[in-house]
Amino acid sequence: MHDDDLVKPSRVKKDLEKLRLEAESLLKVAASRDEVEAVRVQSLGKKGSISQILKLMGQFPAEERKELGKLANEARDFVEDLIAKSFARLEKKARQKILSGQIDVTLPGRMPESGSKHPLTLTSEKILNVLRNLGFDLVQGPEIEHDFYNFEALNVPSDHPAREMQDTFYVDKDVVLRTQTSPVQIRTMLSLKEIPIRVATMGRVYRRDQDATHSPIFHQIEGLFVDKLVTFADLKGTLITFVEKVFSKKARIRMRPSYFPFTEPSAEVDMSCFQCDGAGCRLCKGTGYIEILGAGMVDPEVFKSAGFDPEKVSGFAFGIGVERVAMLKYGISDIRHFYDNDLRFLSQF
Amino acid sequence: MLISYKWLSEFVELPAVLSAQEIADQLTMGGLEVEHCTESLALEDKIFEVNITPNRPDALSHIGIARELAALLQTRFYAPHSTIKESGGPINDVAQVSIHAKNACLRYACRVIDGVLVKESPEDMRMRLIALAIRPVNNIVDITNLILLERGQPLHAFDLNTLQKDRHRAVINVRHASIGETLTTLDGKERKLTPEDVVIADAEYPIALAGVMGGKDTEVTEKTTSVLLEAAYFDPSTIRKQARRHGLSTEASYRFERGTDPNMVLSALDRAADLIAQHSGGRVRREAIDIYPKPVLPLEIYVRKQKIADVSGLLEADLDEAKIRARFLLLGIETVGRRGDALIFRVPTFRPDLTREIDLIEEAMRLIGLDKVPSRLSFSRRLLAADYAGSDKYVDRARQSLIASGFFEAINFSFGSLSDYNLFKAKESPDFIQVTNPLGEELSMMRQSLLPGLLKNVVLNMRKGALGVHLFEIGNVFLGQNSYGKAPNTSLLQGKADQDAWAIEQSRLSGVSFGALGVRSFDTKQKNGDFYDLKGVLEALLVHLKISSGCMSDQVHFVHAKEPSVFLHPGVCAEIWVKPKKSKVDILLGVIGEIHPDVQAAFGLDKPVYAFELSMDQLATLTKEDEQVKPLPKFPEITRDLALLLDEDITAGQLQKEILGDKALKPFISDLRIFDVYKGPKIEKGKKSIAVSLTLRALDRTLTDDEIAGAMQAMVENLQKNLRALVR
Repeated sequence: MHDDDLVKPSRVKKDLEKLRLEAESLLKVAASRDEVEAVRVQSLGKKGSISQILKLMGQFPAEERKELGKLANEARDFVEDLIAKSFARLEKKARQKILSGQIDVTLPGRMPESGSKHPLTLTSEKILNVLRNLGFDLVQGPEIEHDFYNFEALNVPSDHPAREMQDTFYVDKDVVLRTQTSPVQIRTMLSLKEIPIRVATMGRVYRRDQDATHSPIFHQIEGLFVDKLVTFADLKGTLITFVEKVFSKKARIRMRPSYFPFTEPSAEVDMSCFQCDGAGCRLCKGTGYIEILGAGMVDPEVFKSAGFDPEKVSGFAFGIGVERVAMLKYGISDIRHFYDNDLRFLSQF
Repeated sequence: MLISYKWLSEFVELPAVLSAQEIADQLTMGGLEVEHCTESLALEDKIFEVNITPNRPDALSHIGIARELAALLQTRFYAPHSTIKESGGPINDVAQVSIHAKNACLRYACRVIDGVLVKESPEDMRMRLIALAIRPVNNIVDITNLILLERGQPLHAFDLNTLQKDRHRAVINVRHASIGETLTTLDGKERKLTPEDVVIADAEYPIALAGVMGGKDTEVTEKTTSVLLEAAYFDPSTIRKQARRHGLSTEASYRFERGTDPNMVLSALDRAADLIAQHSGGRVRREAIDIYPKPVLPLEIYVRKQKIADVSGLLEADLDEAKIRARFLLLGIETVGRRGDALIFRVPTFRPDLTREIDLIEEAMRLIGLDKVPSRLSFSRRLLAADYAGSDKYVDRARQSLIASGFFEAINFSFGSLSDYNLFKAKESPDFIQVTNPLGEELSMMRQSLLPGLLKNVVLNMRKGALGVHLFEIGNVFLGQNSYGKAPNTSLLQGKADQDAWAIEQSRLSGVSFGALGVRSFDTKQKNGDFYDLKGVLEALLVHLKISSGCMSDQVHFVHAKEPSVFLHPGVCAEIWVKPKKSKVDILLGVIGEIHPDVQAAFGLDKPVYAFELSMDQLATLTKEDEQVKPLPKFPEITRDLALLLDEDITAGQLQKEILGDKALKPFISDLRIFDVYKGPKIEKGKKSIAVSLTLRALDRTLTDDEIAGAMQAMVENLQKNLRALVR
């Protein structure tokens, strides 16, 4: 350690220059953080080149030490800066690599398999929501019904020709599968006893009939309003609002006199065809109108059966077939689809 | 009923500006709905198919429709009048009539036409009948049918010479049949008669089922030379009953059971007799026999103007009394007086539907036109929309939950076959309620469970190639007779409107799950669902309805049933019990399990089906709404996993109950999850390993490791003591 022990300032300068160049060339090609880190350790670490060089400083006079110190600091700053830049370069490269990846966005997503409500549920919910907003409370009644509630109290005594309008299923003498939701009117009036009564009922009804447009079981929704001085005009106003809300704002109604034993006057209610708006098309068979509801003023006999004095109260009732509305709305031609529960049908709702 | 437009125009002045279709529309808007209007080229006529409601027997004829049109169009109605040319001896020389069934037959009239030549009717008459769907027979019968279509009065012609006589006079006796009597009707069927039947009899035998059909032995044939022509008025209910009893519905019975006009009998009879004489070369004997002991008189009905306004919503001032009276007159309704505010109307006997004030108000509104009635929304009376809170929201929430779990809603018939339903019926459950007149055996029993229908749906969908079928249904089941409902009892309805329902009806929510379930995608395979998948669906449902608070709920218990449902696999089924918060009594919500392999096989299914059936009533009572939120925790939580070695027969439920009941740990447990269950070679035979993850937290401080270690240690010791569990 003779010559080497005495290092000249020029040698130090040379070493610092070498350090700079070496770091620069190494960092230029460094392809990973590890390689940059290795350069950092080699040049700036505790046992790295700069440290080695600075260790030698002590032997130089103060003036030279100051100058060399400055040079050393500059070299360290230079390398540190290069390292930082290298890290940044590598980071950017890595980010670019991440960003260069591309997926096939057209592959199908992993869709959660969900089911759906039955179209008859969707339809009756829509109708009941409108009735609810018009102030009708929901009430229910039994499906197996006494002849009394299903017929007698509704002004259809036995041997009345009106019984032929509905072919009836029996389970016992004077016990039927209800042919209409109207018995719920009687039960409600007998149970509430006080006016005003504004109720809606929804449920299954049964008629002995089966083909593409008739099902032995189908669903009806019925509304009943009883108060003082309820008139046909009230019925009309309610039905106009009802049809507008359930079908469309443009829908108009037309009332034709008809006959139901439990209402007097009675009317069939037609609605302007929602497909052609009344111009006439296949759906409405060219008439511009679609039969949609039955309605009327509660018959005095019905009030008597239900414990009300027809001179003191009056009211109206109306009924609608849920299947019929659903068939019209969704363009379903065969009523049997509703009860097959074929998923290829149900999954369309 | 079919109506000839041309024939119609003989009785009513039809404005030339209106087309046949427009006339038809007028009838429709007047309440006599014309379903079709078809052109008959052969007759150069239009045929209306009119839907006549059962209250309008008067409209079952051309004259009736013509009268209606005259009132609707305010034109002239040409009332038909009958003239008759009589010759020869009086009818009493050859015939006599008596009515024994006085309640059934209010009027019986007849005429005799001698010297008839029975032959085919003229072409135009036959064509007219054919166009109106009546089969021509011969000139005599065809004329009776023609008059029926013209006036709505059924007539019947007997061959006078075939009638059994008493002292040379043919006998007509309207009486009840005797036991053992029979009658071969025109359709060739021999009918056994009962004393309930009202018949027309001659001196010996029944010759016609009154008001329904004539007898074969006395019908008019080519050999007939003298005809006894009958026109009568029969009690509607009697005719309806006997038509039904014999399974017969004829043009005659159809009209009699709705109510003909007793005062039209004679004019129709005369018109027919006259026509028969003209077309057959016969002579009408002098006089008619007409037994009509108690003539039916027109009703007089009071109608208050105020009441018309009250029912219709029209203003009283807007009601044009003169106009109403004029329109009524066109319908044959005369104004005969006035008392106070009320007008008195006389209603013709051909309108049996008009008996009350309200009936005439309806009639007035019909003529005014329902489109003239104003409309109003009367809800100022009570502005509030109906309050549905809690009434049916839970139904919707239940639906939404199941739909989110991949289930489709089904709707099945409420009746089915005994063989299907029996597979689901417990011995002790009541007999099926049976439809006495079903559309077929397969639609004859009222269901006691929704599952047979849903399983049939599974079969159908499987056959159509579905890999997974997951369905639910909400509907009623019928569980035998209700002891309060043997007869209607309106006094029971106070408060509960279905107290006297005949059957015990309960609403159920049921579901079935078959085959593949869950997400399907390009890189994940669907697996077949099993018991735990369906149990999970139910647990989610109970969470949505706020009946359960999740997987560590202590309100809901799935319990192995001591007596499993017959339709479920005895080892893979559970009862679902719920303990409501403020109740000591557990409520049975329903059952869940695998469909019994025998049932599965009976339905022809090749994979297991899982099913549940819940009571909607119980769901309704248990569902909670608007629960108060719990404060968010202020201190951190700590999780501890624990794998325990247990005897195989210790259930997860027992372990969970033990842990959640642990005194030291209980206040800190905020979640407990079982994340592994292992049985196999790595552990002792007869043992299993259950791994649980506990989430622990104190509400008022951060738990220390020491604190938890101590509590966990204490719990593990308890588990060892109570369940012989060892930490692995």
